[in-house]
Amino acid sequence: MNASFRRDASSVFGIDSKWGNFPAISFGWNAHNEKFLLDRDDLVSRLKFRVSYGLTGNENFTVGDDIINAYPYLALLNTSNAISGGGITPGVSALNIANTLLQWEASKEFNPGIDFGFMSNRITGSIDYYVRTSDKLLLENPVSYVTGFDAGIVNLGEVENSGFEFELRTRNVSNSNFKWTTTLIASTNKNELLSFGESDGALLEDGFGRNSQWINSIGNPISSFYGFVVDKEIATEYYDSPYIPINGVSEDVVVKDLNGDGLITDADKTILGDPYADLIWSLTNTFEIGNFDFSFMIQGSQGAQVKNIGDQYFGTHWQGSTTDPQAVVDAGIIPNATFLQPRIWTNDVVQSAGYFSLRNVNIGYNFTKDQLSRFNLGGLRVYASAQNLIYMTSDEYNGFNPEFIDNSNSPRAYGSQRAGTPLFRTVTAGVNVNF
Amino acid sequence: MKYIKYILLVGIGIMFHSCDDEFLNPIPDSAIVVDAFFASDADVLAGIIGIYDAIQGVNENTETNITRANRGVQFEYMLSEMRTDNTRTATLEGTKADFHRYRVDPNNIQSEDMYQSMYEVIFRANNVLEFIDVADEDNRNSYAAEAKFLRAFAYFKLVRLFGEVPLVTTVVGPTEKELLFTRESTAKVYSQIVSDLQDAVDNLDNTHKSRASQAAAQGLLAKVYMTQDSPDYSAAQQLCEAIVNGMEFSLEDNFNDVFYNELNDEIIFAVQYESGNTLESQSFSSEFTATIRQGREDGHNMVNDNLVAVFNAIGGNRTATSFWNTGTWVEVAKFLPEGSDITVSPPTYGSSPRDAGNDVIVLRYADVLLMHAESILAGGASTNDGSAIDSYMAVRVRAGFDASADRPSTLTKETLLDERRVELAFENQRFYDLLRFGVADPVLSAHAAEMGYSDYNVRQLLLPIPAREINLSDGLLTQNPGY
Repeated sequence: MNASFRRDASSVFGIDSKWGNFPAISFGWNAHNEKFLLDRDDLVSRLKFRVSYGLTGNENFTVGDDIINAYPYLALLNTSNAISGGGITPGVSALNIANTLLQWEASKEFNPGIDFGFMSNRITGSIDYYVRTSDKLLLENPVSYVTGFDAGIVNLGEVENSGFEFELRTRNVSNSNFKWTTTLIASTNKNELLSFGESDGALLEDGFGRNSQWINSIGNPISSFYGFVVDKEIATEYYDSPYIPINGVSEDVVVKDLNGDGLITDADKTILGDPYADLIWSLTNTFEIGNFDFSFMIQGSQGAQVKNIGDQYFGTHWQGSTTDPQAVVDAGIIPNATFLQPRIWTNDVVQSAGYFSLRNVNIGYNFTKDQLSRFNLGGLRVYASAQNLIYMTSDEYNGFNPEFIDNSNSPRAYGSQRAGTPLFRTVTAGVNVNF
Repeated sequence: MKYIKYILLVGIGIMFHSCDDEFLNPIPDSAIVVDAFFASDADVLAGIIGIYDAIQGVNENTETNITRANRGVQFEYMLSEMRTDNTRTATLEGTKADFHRYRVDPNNIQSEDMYQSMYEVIFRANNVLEFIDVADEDNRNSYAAEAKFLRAFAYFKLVRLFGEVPLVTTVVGPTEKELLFTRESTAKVYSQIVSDLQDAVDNLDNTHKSRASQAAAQGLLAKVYMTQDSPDYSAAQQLCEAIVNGMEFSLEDNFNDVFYNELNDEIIFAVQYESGNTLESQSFSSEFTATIRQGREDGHNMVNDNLVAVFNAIGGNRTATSFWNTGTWVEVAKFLPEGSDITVSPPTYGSSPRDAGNDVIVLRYADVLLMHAESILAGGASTNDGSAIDSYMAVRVRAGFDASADRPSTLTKETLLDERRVELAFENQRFYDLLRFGVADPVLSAHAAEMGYSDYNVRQLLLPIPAREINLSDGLLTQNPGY
């Protein structure tokens, strides 16, 4: 058994809320030390059951301004010069809404797990379950523009992350000429917003004015994608300029009337996905055969979505808006003009961020001392390595890199990109020489 | 071992007293803190200059992220020129292309930015007013008047663009929802604007052209009197005559100098920018190009044929300064970036068109002269008043027309509105002029029909309250009809 207690203070927080108490406790039982397993190392070499519970604090957040990050509880001023009389005139303006009550973001984590080792530790690993509840999240909360600001830093809401972590390491073959080990790591995660005060259901937009939205609502992942569901495409004859969009895809699409009231309004928007992976896994194999060594890692992620508006840029879809929605109505395709909505507001841009990759491959040859002795060298290794030799994405993803997240994203409006910076496939070859 | 308990106690004591107050409550060296800052006259003045900074706005080419930056008046052309018969965008990309087609919705970024920018101006003004007693006694009245002028400037834009709006005259915190989300009647908003501007007229002089002045307050107040729900034309006339009789301003002989000789004799109030300065420049000059595109987008404020026709009829020598025909587009020429040359082919736009320094002219003498004629017209269909026609003719003569041969015996409302349209083209007046003359719906519905903008309806004359404000208000804030 282990118990600890921390009491921390941070200069980030308000005068009366600087201190936080963070106790933790854990229990473990080394079952392999018990009599009934003590002599069975060949079968069960390690078996430990453990459970821990603890509180931790977080004082870190970023709002894109270093000074606000450091002193969010103070009312700060910012240089705010203006041109007057033809030259720069020094001015100041308020930088933030001071929050004198700001306090620690607190996380509770409950974590039971098993560590195991079988057959003289040829097979080792662990299985963990975790529930981490983060409370009083440090977030930028939107405020009315009438205050003179668009957001203030607050302690708001509660998020739960839960899932399993699994790790398995095996020494498949282990003798002097041939060694082969395998490592499998996998984790699952479920993100759920448990409470969000008055901001439950708040919609947020991205920082570049493309009107794509996120929703933060209780019972769903924080920063879920939100928008319309595409019903069908419209024919090129209704496009303003059908030849400009590459592949002839219009920016306007017909969307579904989810509440069936015959009009498309905000009430027809729904949650379209979230940027958090359900499962992330990797499998690594290493081989040593004589003087050769060889390893590779494959990796994958499933269940996350990314909001990708790359096509709007690369396919010039912006220019494919219909001039006259009434023509589409008159043709009997849609009941009224509200059924035509820009594609960036729909599930069409919320795409699977899942991937499968051969993340890296390494191969090398180490020359032996005997081989090197006549060259007067201490060591010589010839190697080659490659990253992302194979990289497969979902069929519905049409950007360059599903793992890319635009750096303007905030925790409440997370997971968008404009096709992303392409992933590099690199191949490296080299020689290491020691004299 | 008998002392161990004392050693433990000392250890615990250190644990609990290891941080002193100053360590945990540092006074930052790198930041200015409000409570410590406002201590002198110069500090209050710096706060006032900060209000102008909010009006100037942040150049979109410097900071593209919309949540981190307000554009001040830099986007106003979309709301006041492109939303009329004057101009449109070259292509249909994004929400900026929604203004000329009358399909602005409550999520429109640029409309929202104007709401946000003007309330930022109002907040900064209200904030400075709380510290006004720190200033030297001699300056308190003029500083307060300057802050109130700028607050009125912002509310005047809001009330014309959005209609009834929340009215705050003190600093309001994020939890005071009644104040933040209650829309006050336009009469109440106008009454606040009039009172603030009257204070500015009484306490300012004409020292500055790029800051508030008495003449700027008089001119703006005259416009307010003619715009408000029950216009007061005689009060407006007196204010215009006060500016004219003050003889401190005059028309530039050469129309081109109005735009390319900053703070000239004709300028009463301008929002200034500095060319090549990423933090203090504006983006719109570059956005007004399409043929040889200098801006981020495909081309804004492209001139409609309809306006070209009016220029051909009554523009006189103002045409070449106002716009030019590239062969592909008719582009605005009043705000060409420093170093531009449109006489060569292809045209050049200087070394830093995206950080342009051309000022936004808020009020100039020609505007006051035409307002003078308007105040005498007093909402009627025409006037034979000699002094009204004198003011009108002063602007016409500068445009190259003959003082006697071209002098009409009667000045009609339509003639005056057309004159304002060409004289003040692209100076963010057209939309407000149409509202003030009471003809916005007939003119714009005819224009929309001509251009095939089928989304037009009269409700588009008021912009929507931003959806995010309504979402934050828990049902307190109401939307304008039709959105």
